[in-house]
Amino acid sequence: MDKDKIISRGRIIIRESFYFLAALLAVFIILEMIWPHIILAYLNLNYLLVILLIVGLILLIKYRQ
Amino acid sequence: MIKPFLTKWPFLLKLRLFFIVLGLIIVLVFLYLKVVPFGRATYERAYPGGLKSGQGFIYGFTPAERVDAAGVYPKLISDPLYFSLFTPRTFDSVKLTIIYRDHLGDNTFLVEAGVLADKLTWRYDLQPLQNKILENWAAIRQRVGTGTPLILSKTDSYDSAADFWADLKAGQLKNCAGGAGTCLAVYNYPLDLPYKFPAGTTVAPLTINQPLRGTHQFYIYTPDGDLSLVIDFLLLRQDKGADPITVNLYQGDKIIATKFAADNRPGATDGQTEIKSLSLAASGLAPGVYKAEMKISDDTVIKKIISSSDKLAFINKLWPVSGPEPATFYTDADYLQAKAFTPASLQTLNFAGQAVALDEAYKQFTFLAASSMADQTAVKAIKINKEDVILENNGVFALSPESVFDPALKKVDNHFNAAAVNYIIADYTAPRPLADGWKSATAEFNLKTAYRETGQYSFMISIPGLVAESGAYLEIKDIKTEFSGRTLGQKLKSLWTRIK
Repeated sequence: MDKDKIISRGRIIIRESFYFLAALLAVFIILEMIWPHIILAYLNLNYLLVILLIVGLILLIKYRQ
Repeated sequence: MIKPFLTKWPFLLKLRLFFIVLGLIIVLVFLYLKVVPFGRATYERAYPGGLKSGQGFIYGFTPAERVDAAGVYPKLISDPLYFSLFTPRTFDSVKLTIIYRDHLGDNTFLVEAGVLADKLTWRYDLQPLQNKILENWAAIRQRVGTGTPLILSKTDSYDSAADFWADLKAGQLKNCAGGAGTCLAVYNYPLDLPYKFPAGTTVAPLTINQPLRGTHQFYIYTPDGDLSLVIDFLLLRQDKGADPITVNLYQGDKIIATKFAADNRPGATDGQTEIKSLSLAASGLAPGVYKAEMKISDDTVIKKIISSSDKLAFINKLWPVSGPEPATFYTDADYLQAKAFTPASLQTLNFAGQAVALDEAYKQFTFLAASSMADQTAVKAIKINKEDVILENNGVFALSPESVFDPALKKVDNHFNAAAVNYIIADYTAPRPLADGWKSATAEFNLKTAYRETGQYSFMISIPGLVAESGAYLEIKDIKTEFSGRTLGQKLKSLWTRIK
């Protein structure tokens, strides 16, 4: 696999991870609104938000075209 | 199928499929945890905490000033303590296990846990975790029979539990000259012994004009099986929240008559008082003692009680308010707990002939009668100069000495007088000792009648007599709750039956 392909796939993975985490956060927030505390009891959504921001920053800085 | 997926499908498609499946699995896991389909769940909080991924289910102890959180383990330094427990769904019962280390000293006998059963009256369903009095008795006294309930005897009077129960049923135990009720104490065991007034006891109508604030219960005696109560309530409209009124009449633990008045202006705080009257009558009852309960919020006052019987004694609590001052009440207990509800109620009151100072508002003071050891059943007078004082003890209160009667059996609590008791019946299992002085105690609660708000049950740890100034404390290492309830299948079946 050549270097360009690796970079291209890396960008896709980071981008898709960002979409996935954003969608997951949205679903968790909706679930929290329907059944309060059901997610927060197990998982602090701030952690997920921080990971989402880190992935987003990597996507912006490293893979900006 | 696998090969084309690995070789022919575009990378982006495979990646998206992977994330979609992963997302679905994560959401399904949370839904599983929410539904608890098999009806059983365990939630635990251990100390010290460490890094937590989420808020957890068992929240910290409140009020904060009653907990010393500086050490590795939280220390409970004052009574009572509360914690709430979030559950994703309702359950039928819970087994609560607490691992604790006892630094309570010799004079703090009880550790109990409870779940909030009624928010309006702030009533907790308490179960024992530790009772040192029972453990001391079990160590040095005779045990009658084996199994549960635990029967302890001061002397070697009975060889078998069957003989004991047979005598108890007949109302006469060995070495109890005044009848079984006079020398028997119970703990966490409901025992309904019929209370007998002397033959020929008559009753007369009674009107109580003493205003009383908040929930009250009283015993009332009818010699002829007819009972009538007319009770006027005054809604103060000072606090938020609804002020419904319920009057229940009990025979033993069974409600035999009830009256209810809904609050037509819930949440009103305009101070525009309202009067409501409820009447309750029953006839054809068996002659004897009944219990009446007036279940109201602290924003409601019992203004007047018109009763068909003057043998009427309030149970455990009296909160006189806005009546004539000074006022005199009577009790049979050998101690009195008093709390000034406002600074204006601070005073020197008189209990059993002794002047005692109530010099701090909102703080509960305990006063012991000087003659308590000599004659614990004697009627003691309580003279208060200012009202709005909450009076409590483990006996009864009455407005005249003739009305004082207490059909309840003695309880093995912090004010237990061993001198007057020859037998104890208790439903109690001593805590299990662990290494390094830790103990594990378990209590089970029925949650069908427990109060649950915003997905949370409220629990209490009660250690009567524990005050911060004493230096005594209870360390908590672990709280584990094992819930059980209906399975998803049972819920669906029940739903289907209702739809049909």
